[in-house]
Amino acid sequence: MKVLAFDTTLGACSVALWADGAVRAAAFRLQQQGHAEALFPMIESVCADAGTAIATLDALALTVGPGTFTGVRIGLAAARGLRLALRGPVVPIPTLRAIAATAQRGQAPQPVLVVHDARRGEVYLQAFDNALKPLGEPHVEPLTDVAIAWQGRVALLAGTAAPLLAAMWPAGVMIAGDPTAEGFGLPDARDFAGLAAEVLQNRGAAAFAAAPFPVYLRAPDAKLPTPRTP
Amino acid sequence: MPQPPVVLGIETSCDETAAAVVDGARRIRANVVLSQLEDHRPYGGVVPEIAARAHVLHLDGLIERAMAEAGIGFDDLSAIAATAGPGLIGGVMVGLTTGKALAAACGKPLIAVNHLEAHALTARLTDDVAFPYLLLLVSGGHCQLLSVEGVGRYRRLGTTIDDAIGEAFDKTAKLLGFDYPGGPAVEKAARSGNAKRFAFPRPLITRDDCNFSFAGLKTAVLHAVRELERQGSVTAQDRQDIAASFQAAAGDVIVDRTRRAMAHMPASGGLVRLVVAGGVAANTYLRERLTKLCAEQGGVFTAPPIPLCTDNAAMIAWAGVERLQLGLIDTLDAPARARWPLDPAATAA
Repeated sequence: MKVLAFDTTLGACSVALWADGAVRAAAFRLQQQGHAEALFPMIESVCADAGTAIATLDALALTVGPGTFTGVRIGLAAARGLRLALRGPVVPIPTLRAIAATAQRGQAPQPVLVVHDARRGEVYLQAFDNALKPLGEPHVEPLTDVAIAWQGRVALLAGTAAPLLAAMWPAGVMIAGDPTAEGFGLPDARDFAGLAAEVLQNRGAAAFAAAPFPVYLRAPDAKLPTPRTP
Repeated sequence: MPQPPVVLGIETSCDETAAAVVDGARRIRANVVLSQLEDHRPYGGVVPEIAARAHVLHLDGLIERAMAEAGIGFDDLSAIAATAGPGLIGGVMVGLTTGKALAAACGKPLIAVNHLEAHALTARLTDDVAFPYLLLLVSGGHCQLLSVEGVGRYRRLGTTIDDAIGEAFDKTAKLLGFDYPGGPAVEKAARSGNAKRFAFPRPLITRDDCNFSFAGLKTAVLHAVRELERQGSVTAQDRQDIAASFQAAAGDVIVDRTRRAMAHMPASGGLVRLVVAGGVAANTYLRERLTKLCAEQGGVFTAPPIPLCTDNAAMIAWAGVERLQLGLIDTLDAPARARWPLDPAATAA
């Protein structure tokens, strides 16, 4: 089975091709913008590196948010377009779960709290057990509330807001990865491609026959007009 | 004989999600459009983020419908054409990315289409018009006169120095308390109004160039409404008279500027061909004025059917056919562009 995985939801663009038990080729590029231009050339070169024709892919996996609204939509549009032609299953991976998968890479399995800096003093957050099973829905919450609610309850912290949160706790906490490294706290397709393949094998292709849906967590910025008073 | 090319077109640059299949024999094999009008109505205008969210949920279903109506599979396509701009960038990215995905998965060429070029070439799909011709492009975002000399070859003769004409219609409608979108509402009200009651300005019509201006006209409408409000209430008849007077002024400006531009055009066989395109080309009053102008000037007037003047994907697919026939295909890193003038050499108006 060949699975193409990609992420465009945050500050990087990543692509991985998983085939028969392992990632065969992958690419990761840091970028705040330009995902719509970068994604397909990256997909083509990853598939070429793995010696796989796009038309022969068995399944797709992608992060569906939360993330930047535009980034979430680029991944969605790519997956929905590919799905029309390939007619295979699509495994939607919540972005925070993808970050948790990257956090657990090379570590002994342990529960992880993922906090991504959502700006405006808020974070996107979601907690996972040591098997990456979500312990609740992803949501958006003020960082200060998260600091109070989760103090002393976290074994491993991941995501771009992890250093901010850790600094608010006197006892500190273990952070996954090096906060000063490039790409810290971002998803990487090579870390969730295998997870998607496993989920697909466990639940069967029929469970992923539908088109993926975006997870924005925030409403569009739009104000209703105030009626003119005569 | 080789089969004519068959192209899938995708359009997502504003508030219509659309997909179409058109072939090189100028046959529209499918043309589906989903309007988001109701999503935006409460806001009195298009909200870009709401538009982009709707495009991504509906576009794949519309493509499936268009392919089913055309009775073909993706393997039967010669190319995939998608609007790459100009327009609301979030929506453009959805359509262009979907087009890239189909092109990559099917191994077909991608054609990144300029939405304005698609409007410009529509008359060749509907009426097989030969180059060169004068194009009056009138919509909510544009008001331009272009000499269309070939695919990818445009010379701008005039443009608006402030508002687009569609914007002027929408703002007038707002001032008159009509529902969004205002253009059709103004046209309807104008039918029962007295166009001579208000002497609204005809900006720029004494100037030698072919540029447009509508900001002053809009302000004059605002003053007329305020004056009536000051005197008491604005009646239905007042609204109809303002709408008619506004539309007549806008029509005079369009006709005057277009007449001047016709003089700049090379006459092929002694005739200047005038083509109108864009959403405002759906306005019957303007169509009548332009038909009359061409009759006076000895020109030939072409206006595509209204559903092909407003945003649609058949025009994108057709622009794809024209570009494909010239070998003008794009790579999968083609950018989405918010701005993309047809004549980049044109100086600011």
